[in-house]
Amino acid sequence: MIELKDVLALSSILFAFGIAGVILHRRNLVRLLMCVELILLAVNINFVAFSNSLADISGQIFVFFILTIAAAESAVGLAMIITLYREYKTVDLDKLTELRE
Amino acid sequence: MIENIIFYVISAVTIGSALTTIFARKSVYAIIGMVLAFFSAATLWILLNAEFLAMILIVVYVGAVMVLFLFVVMMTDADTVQNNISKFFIVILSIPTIAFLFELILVTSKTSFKVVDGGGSFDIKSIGTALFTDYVLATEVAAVILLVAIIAAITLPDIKPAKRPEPDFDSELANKANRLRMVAMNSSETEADQ
Repeated sequence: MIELKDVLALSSILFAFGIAGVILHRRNLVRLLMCVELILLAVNINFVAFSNSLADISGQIFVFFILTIAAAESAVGLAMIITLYREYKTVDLDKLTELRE
Repeated sequence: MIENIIFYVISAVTIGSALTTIFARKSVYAIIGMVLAFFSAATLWILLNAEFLAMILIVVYVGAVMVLFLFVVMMTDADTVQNNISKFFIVILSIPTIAFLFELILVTSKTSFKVVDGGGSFDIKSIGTALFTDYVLATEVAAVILLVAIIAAITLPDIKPAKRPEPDFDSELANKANRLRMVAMNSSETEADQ
């Protein structure tokens, strides 16, 4: 029997790594999206763990919808990155300053 | 007992692959790390009685989203972004991260959550029943969102790069014929007077 708090500790570690990655790769758009996916994975692990320990199916349903929305989000986000790259020839966030100038 | 050993091994693999995702120099290696993280997370979900979601995770994420990431990494020059991060910055970054991590683990280990004996075991049938009875509206909305995402993902890269309109010199060049001409002429009143 897996202890609930062990799973929560694992997902906390994943979440903290995701946050650290977002700060570390704050200039690279693609790596930024990957770290966001890592954070979403941590959240999903939490949902599944609570769904198991509370014997409630709502957690798994939530994970289902989160997966749906996350897949849609990454598809649209990557399409936007491709469009941006064609226009500006870079994925460096510090160089995408069109609106500021 | 064997479950616990498997859980700890899987946790180690997950944490290691997450570290690979963050610290890999090449983006392709980061994606390989993410694939490993998703696979080990799927294994963990099987241990937690969520077999259907584990399969969905592998099919949707490893099969589709990660391939999409691979395509984007290969189509853009994501690795050439200068990430000039100093050692000092990494030290500064690690302090709040570790503090945040310890706080999360402390809170989750001190709190006593309600635990149902035996845990929940759900098959695909119960998930489908819940999806199409209690959560049918959310399912419809998710379907519409997926449709919109498909349309956006197909049409967005199709947009041509916006051409800056170059000034059209031909129409703006004025020649002598269409300039305003000052003509000396007598006014009608003086003509009438004469």
